Amino acid sequence: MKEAQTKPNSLKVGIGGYLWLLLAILAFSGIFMNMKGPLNVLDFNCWVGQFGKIVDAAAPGFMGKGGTGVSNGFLQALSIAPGVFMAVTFMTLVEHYRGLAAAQKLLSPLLRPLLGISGACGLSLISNLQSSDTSAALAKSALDSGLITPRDRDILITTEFIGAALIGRLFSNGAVLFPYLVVSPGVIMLVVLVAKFIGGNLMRLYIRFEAKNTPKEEVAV
Amino acid sequence: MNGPVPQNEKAAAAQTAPVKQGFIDVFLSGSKKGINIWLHALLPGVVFGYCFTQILTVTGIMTFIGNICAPIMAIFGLPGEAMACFVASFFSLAGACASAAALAAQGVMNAAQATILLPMLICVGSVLQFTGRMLAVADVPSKKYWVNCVIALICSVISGLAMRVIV
Repeated sequence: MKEAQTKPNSLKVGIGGYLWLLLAILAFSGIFMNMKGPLNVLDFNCWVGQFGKIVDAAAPGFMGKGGTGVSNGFLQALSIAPGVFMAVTFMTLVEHYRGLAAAQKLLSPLLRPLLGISGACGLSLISNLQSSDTSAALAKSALDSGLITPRDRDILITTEFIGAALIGRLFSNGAVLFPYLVVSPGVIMLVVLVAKFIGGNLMRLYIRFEAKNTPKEEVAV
Repeated sequence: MNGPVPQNEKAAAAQTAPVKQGFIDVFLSGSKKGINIWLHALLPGVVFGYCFTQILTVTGIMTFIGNICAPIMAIFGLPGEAMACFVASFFSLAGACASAAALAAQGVMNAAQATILLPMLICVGSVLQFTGRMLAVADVPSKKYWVNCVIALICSVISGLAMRVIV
């Protein structure tokens, strides 16, 4: 882990990694959601499928109508279980076949213009999509080894703090709202990702504002 | 120096070398992970969220929150009751999402409103927990904790407004 962090650009990502990343983007984007024919197989919801109808003219599934409390919640949780299983399985495959490493490689050169931080923050930022704890530990480790400055760390952590563990939590905690969504989960992910980068830049502004308002002697100390 | 490697060292190296997993192995291990997440992360959140919403609904607190917060949540095109989910999200995202799903199931929120609310909840989801688990772990100065929480709140507002335009 440490070796990968000290040489962020030495990560070997083959064409397969980029293909898995592309597949993940296409599957969650919802572009192929309403596509007829074989191209529909590129959509995540096609893999999950849907429950059959218990009686004719009923809505698909076994939720029924008028349920309340935890009983209703349990059926809701049961009805979204296949989606959670499939999303986590798919993300495990993307990670295993280096799709996330490909994303890291593509993202690292963009960190300076987008957030004003070192490309060495890429590993922590990508790991944040899956795990809040790992990303915080990686940020701390990068700081301790001198790869990033305290300023980089502050901006990085703010970016990670907002909507932390996005993929994991969207497809587990957020999945309970999926039956009601009028857009694909990919759109939700994109909006939160943009919000994360806005958050990082707000911290960047705050640091600049703080530096301007701190007496020079205090900074020297 | 480069003589034959002793048998026990070979065995130790074989043990420490990463085992190459095939597609089916990775698929099955991902499915196991998914089942674990559903059982241990999502289900407890659902129990909390639906129980919380049921209590607030039956006691009339939800209607009260709805009336008080309606003008604020109207900015995002949401009913006032969504404020209860929003506040719950600071403590637990799982509970907040389940609570929002319960409101949608009751017809308090429609599908478009549930869609607007989801990224708002994610932006501030469990920030109180993450203050300890992320900011403290990364040694962020404690005076910046509140700044991070305020920024998360601002980002939540921005994502809500963006979703209102998108939906």
